[in-house]
Amino acid sequence: MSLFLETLVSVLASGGLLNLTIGNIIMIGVAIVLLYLAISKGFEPLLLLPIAFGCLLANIPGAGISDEGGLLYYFYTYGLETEILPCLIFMGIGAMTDFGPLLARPVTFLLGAAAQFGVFFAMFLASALGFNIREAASIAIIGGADGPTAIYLTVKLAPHLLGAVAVAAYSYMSLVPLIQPPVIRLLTTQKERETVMEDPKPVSQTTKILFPIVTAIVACLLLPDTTPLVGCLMLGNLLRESGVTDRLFKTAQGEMINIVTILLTLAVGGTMGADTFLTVATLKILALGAIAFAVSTAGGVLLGKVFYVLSGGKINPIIGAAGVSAVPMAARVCQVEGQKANPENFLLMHAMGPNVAGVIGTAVAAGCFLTLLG
Amino acid sequence: MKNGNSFEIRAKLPGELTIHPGKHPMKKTDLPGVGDIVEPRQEVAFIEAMKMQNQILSPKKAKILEIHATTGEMVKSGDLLMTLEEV
Repeated sequence: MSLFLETLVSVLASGGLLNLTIGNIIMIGVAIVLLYLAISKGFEPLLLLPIAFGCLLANIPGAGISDEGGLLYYFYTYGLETEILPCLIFMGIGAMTDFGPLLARPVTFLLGAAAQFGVFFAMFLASALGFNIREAASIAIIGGADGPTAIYLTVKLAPHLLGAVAVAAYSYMSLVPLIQPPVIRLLTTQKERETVMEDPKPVSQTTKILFPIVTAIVACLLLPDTTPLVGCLMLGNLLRESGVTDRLFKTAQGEMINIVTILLTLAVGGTMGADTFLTVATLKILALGAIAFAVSTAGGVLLGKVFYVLSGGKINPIIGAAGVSAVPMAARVCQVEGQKANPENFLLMHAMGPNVAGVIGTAVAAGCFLTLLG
Repeated sequence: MKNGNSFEIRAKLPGELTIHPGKHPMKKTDLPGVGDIVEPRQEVAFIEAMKMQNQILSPKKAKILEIHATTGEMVKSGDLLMTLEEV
């Protein structure tokens, strides 16, 4: 009997239960909240669910899953530190993205650029709040609403903030329908929001094929640091549009991006140990991320208003809000807001132009940061 | 059949169409068909684009005269969906 008790005690003592810290318990709670948001509320479940589960596993004491030799340690070291996974995700995104709406109205490219304003604004704010410039850039990129780009930049500039930045970036993407509408309504008039946009001219297949090739050459020559992200994005898009690589296109936008998403999100979740995540810095990052996001939306909408005036009332300023990437959530918000103002208004496809431009814009903003700070 | 009060509803964006005899994607009720009277702002069809069901509304109270498209069809912006007569 005493042998049994001794064994039981030694099993308990070496197990995780008795070694749980308050921090671990809080982080497991955070993981459960994120799982709840993903499963019951549908908040970006494809991303938040595996992140949350990675976080849960990383907070089991004694398991060491994120310590050297642990499973998630290898996902992180070989997948994230090498930047392989975010770039492969970008290839998948390129394959999924139809740049047609952007090419049909190239001026909307500028809306995608204007919506990066929040990124630079948040960087100055983060610096003012005591973050060093490399940390500030990593936090600010949340305003671009582009998860892989945020991860890519943070791993290079401030890897200790990765968990918080990734969670903020991905959760704010689900909050797009809550954060954006008040900003849109504040900055536009009912008359502007009612604007029905005409269909742009159709885009030829040749243009769609040339676009990724030309963009890769121009963007990468101008900002060589952005080559891995923009290069992969454009390769993925060329697989889609060339018409001769159907098998590769299907894999890139299907199984490949799914597998890579699992590895990437688990690796991100694995960085959410109590000691690195439960800090005041995390709260600041969450707040700064929301500000970056709102200001980016405002930047896009304000340039949208300029376009409204310049076009003689033909461009609805709402579509500027889609300049933050968050494809296609931000475009959907534009559709909903446009139709609220005027049931005859269908902005979805018009908003896809700035929306996909935002993806390129955020990648270019990350490239600027890397060139200046890397 | 057409008279001065008839008007057309066209697709406002490209995507996959749901129209009579299809069902309302959320409420699962039947969408209005030929001969039915629709109210202003009543949903007469849906077009799914970017994983979003976009509602196509009737601008006024009207009777549906003819339906020119079918559920599941990929429509382009501007495609004729139905002809109605104001009542």
